[in-house]
Amino acid sequence: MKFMKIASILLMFGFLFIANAISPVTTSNDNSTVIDLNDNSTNSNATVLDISKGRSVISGDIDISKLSEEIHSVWIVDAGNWKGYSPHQLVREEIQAGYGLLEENIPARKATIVFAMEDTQLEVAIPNEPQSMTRLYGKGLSLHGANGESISVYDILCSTPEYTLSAAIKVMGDEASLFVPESTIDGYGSFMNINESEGYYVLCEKAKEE
Amino acid sequence: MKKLITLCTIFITSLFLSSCGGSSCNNGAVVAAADTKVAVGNVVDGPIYNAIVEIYDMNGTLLATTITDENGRYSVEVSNLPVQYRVVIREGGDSGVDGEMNANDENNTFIMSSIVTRDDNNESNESVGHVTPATTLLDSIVEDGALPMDDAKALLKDQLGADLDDDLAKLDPTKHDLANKLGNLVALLSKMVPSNDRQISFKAVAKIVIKKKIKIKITNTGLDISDLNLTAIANEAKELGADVSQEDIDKVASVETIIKEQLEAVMSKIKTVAVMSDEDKKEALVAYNALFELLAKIQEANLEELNEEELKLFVYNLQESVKAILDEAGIADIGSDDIDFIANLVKENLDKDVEEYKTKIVKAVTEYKVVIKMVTGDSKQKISLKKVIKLVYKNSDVDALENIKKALGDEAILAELLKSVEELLAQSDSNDLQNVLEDILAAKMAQTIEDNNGSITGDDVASDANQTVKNVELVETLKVKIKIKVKIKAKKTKLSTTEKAQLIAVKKVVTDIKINIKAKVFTKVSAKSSDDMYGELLKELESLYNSDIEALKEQVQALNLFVTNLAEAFNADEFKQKVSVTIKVVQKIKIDTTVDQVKTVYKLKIVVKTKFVENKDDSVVIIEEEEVDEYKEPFKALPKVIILPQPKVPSMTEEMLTNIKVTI
Repeated sequence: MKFMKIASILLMFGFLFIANAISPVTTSNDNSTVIDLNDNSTNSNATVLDISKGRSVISGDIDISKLSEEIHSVWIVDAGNWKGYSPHQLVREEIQAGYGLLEENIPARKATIVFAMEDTQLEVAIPNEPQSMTRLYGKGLSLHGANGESISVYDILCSTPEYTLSAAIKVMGDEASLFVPESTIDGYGSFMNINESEGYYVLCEKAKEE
Repeated sequence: MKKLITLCTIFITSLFLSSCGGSSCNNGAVVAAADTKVAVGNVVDGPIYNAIVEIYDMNGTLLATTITDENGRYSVEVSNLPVQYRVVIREGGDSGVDGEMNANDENNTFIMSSIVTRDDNNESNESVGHVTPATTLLDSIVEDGALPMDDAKALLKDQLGADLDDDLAKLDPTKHDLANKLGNLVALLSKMVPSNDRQISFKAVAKIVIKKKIKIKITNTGLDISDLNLTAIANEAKELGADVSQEDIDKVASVETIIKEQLEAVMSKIKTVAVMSDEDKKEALVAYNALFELLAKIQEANLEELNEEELKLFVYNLQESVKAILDEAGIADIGSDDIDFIANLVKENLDKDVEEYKTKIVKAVTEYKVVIKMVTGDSKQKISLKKVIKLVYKNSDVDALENIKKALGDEAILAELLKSVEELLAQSDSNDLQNVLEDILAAKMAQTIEDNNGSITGDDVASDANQTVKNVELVETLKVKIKIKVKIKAKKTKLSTTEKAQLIAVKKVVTDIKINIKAKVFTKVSAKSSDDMYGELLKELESLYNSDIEALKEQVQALNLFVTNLAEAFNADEFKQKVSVTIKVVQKIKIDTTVDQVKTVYKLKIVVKTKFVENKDDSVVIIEEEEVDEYKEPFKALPKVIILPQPKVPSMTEEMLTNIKVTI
């Protein structure tokens, strides 16, 4: 019975975070410009990323027509909704049935979650002159792309008054790495910088009173 | 029984001393002594290492003591060694049928002996006297059957087919095949009895030999059984006072054929250590292991469920699978540890297609060998490392075994496992370990209380505590649990929700026991304080009635009864009886999560402290407020779990559909 109680509390935490995560996932500047990676090649550096099996959060201009067969699907959050694309017809149909099917390439300001069935590679273009944007980190959990720039974790400042950064999280091949201010969390890799081809989650929470 | 025999020995010794007035006494039974001799010999069931060896004269006077080395060999100088003397051995570790020290060797639990005639003709000044189950049987026949040595030898020859003209005590079982087979047969027969007391089982074998209820011929290829009734041995053991139930005897009777077949199979494989090849050793170990798995299976099953054909299939599958896997893994230097490990893996999958698991098991075995190689070396420290790992296999629960198997299949986790084992060993002599042991012990005690739903008191458990920590085996088990704990901590990122909850629960029960241990006997409670308490409690408990929580009513009634009795009159005897009821009630309240809420709201425990218990001497229940706070701590300390959101579509694999969780 005690275990059930504890488990239910854990689950409550889980739901809480899911609820927090879905609703405020921010997309900041909802610019739907179509990016032509080929034409824009002089203004970007094409980079081939090694993608491990599992889920990875990356960023960069991505031509969705060039996804390898090993990739199950790629996903972004657009205006609070999931949108995805897959090189496989069946998966595209599933995406269309349950979510929104991406019809345009993905811009670098968006974080892209890649679902890879095997280790593979994915070509992204890192824009030399990224679109200017204001990075907004709202309440709860939100998902962000690097927008072609390397940034320090100390540049992540929660946008809502009285809210502070609880954690920034990167994911590669299902393995999470963490930045938690003034803490080291056993069992996870840590980081101080977010590279230009990476995506990341940010958790902003109300500052605790001392 | 061991103690009994030791006592008898002491008794016989003291009798001798008192009647003679000292060790210089001489009487007709003591043969004229020679000069100093070196008594030597091998102690072999499997070779018994670190055994205590005692040399007595035939009147029971202790002449010398020593211990056996790692090969089961002893050597001790004895002045005035009599022409006939008795070598008695006890304790030590049994190397088993492979003759090698392994981490899972059993402790030798029975006393063996040998009546030895002094060697006078050799030039080395040594007198050889080997000790085996066969010499012990001979000794028992001489004593229990009150027979002369020659008659006892004849009996052994007739009934067990030991066609040995030489003195059994002079035949080295590590080199002499027939002597070795005889020793093993006697040992195995004693192990066929479904009793934990091997000493009595052994005596039972002696009895059926004396009564000529057995007829076996040991040959070079194995056994030729004319008359062997296992239930007869079990019945003898029962008559001698062994803990053998009638159902156990019936079970043995119902499937005796298959047990005997396997006994024959084992005996045909057993050879002396000196001539045993790796292949022979493997076959003997596999057959031996299958025999004892068979006995274990019979013991576990209900009488109605026992089916000879199914047992045959079980033994066949187990033997064949283990052999096939060993062959495939190419393991040459096989030991009983390896057989145990592999048999465990096979057993878990015996109801399925073994072939299906072979590749997986071979991989696990290969990696297991890597583990052993990494932790086994020349130093004793490394050997104890190996022991720790083996204990994990042997003593931990199924989940832990599963974790180890997973670890064996993952290099990173394997490295982590080894690291945690080394860390554990590094702290084995430190205060840290002591603290952890105490913590785990406390948790174990608290769990005992919880498991028994308060039917045993905190006092009962607490009073056992000191005794328990002196238990070497438990400490070993605790070490294993620590290791698992260390490992779980190291891998906490991969814990399931249940495992996390369990970790928190462990902390909780540790705290609980600290409170429970303080629940000592009340000796002074004034009527006034009882009245005050009664008033306070009634107010608090009324709300419990109104809350319609059925489960609480019984507890409330018990509390009411207790308090009423206190209020009426203080009677020491009656009060003492009620104390145990109170402790149970407190424990019930403590383990009921619904009551947690009540406790929190009304701070019932604090009321108990401030209103009910005024006398705070050593014997009074003291439940401090800070401990109540501490009790709640695990819930405050819950780790924050962030579940990373993601989309899900049907074609995703199970892994992809499971959200990534991050614990901070």
